[in-house]
Amino acid sequence: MFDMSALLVALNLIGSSLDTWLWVVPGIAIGLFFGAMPGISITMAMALTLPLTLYMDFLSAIIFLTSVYTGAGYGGSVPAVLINIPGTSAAVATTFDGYPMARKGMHNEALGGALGASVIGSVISYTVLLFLVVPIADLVIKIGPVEMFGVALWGMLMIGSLTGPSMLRGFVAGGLGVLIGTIGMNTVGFIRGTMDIPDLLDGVSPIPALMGLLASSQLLGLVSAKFIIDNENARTLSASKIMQGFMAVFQHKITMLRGTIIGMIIGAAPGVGASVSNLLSYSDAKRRSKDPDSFGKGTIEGVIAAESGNSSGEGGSMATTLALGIPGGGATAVILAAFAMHNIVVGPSFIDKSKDLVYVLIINNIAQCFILIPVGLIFIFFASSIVKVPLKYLIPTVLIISIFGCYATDGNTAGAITLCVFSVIGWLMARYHYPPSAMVVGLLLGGMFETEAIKTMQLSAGNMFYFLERPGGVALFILILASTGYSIWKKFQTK
Amino acid sequence: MKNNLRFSIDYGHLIFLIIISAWVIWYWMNARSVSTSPENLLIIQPVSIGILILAVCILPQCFRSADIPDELKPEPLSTVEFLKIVAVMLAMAGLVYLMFTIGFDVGVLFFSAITTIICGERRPLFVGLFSIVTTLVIVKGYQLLITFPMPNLFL
Repeated sequence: MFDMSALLVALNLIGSSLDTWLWVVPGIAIGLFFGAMPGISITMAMALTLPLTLYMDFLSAIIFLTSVYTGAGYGGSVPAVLINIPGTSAAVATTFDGYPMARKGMHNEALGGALGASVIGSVISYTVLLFLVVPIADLVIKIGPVEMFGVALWGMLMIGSLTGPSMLRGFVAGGLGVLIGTIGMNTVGFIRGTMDIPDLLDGVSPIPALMGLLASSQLLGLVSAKFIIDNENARTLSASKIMQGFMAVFQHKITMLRGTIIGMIIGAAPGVGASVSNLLSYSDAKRRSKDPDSFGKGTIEGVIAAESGNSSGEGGSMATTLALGIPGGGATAVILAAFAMHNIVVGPSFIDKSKDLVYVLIINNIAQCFILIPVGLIFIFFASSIVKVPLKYLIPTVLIISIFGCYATDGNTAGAITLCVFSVIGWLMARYHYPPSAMVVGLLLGGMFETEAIKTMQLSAGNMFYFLERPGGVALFILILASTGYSIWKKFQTK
Repeated sequence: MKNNLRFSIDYGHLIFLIIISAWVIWYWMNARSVSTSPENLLIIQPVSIGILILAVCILPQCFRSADIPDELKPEPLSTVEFLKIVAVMLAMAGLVYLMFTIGFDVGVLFFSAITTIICGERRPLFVGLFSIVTTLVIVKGYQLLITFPMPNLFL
């Protein structure tokens, strides 16, 4: 468990190797830039910067890469708020309230709130990691298909909160998303819906699809408008409003803390990723809010919930990576590659023998979160000027960057074509009040939902009560039932 | 008492709903043609049936009484706005086609010029300058960032 002497050695190491700190600000700045570019994922950003670390010593290399990770985690929320394009899939839920806030002229508050939630969520998750890295890893190893099915089901229930004015249309949108998410070869080897197109064997690429559904479709609807924000006086950059947004995190402490816990647990589960945790955190916050109808219309609480969910996943996934040597996602896989490049093997023995090094990494990550504040504020200040750009220039630029970003995901035409197709679908859906956000949730979770359901079915061998043998799964299903039941009861109460 | 209710048919929504239902039926049947085992149809079959049932429930919403206010009606869209939106969609398709047949630079140049004009810029000098600068910055910038080949005609 917690080793005080190793911590003191770690603090001494940090204090004596000040040159490693030189890599933090450039790393965060690079991460912010790449994270804000639609289509360029956090994984890609870290993979692009990995070769730079070849000539660094081990500590500098890992600190640089984790700085890129920290910066990219927040960077994705900037275009999510300003132009409704999540820079990374971890910022999808940020668009639900961030963009409506920007349209109302509250882009400064939204960006400040996202920064605050990112910083505090990460600080809490890394602090917990400092004390509980081994127990978290022990818990992760017990997660099986039943628990993963529970997580996917929990996420799918979110569709119910995204139905908009028509529940029927909302569920059609969500259901369509689930079906689209199952296109391709499933885990058992059945190939469905590919129309003999080889690019569809792996399914519909989620990043181009969600960019088309959420962003391009919105931009198509703005071709006759002049600016993102109609009111000229609201198109200002205001440091005080950004700070107001940042401090709003403390007015929504409970939402932030719940999002952080959800993010940590989901982030620790290998292969799930921050794209799920930000959605779950958002839906949980909406269900429990005193004013759930305000969600989706531009409330800072929605932004805080989404960002705390995605940023705290970093600490969770680092726990799995350091303690088990299993990458929590693509980004931590790149960090593992950096470890391997320096001949370091992570896992249980690494934690035992090099606890001081583990503590150095964790403490440095906590410090990175605080350094993100000034670097992030400067980045926001420049990025926010996008609201002053006339749409006749912004629309073509954003659409081109989106298509290039989609090309960058796979290096072939599939991404770009997917974006175009889903832009049309997204515009039609928005026009006839079928919420594209519900389809996005279905698309992101549909494949995982089917895979875990099949695995659970196979492991149970037809035994309906198999899940009772999995206490973690039972606890999760009870939580889901309790949470859903509570929100239904609350709805009846208010009526 | 005379019944003065007038009904209007939202043809756009009706066609959209028919397309959704047709695609769902096609996908469901396609999945069934691969295999009828539970491991294949576990999610697809119930979700498809659910969507089709919901589509039948939504169908009456396409036939609305003109006197009853309907918050689910689409926003009014003028012919000019509709044509602009279709033009940008076609321009996006053209961009993707030109990128992979002639070159990324040519695709971006034409798309940025055409879309800027569609979105309201009428000054030829601004259109030309914007297109050239956009092409240079975006194409060159992405060539530095991504490792996949980006064939160009001029750059």
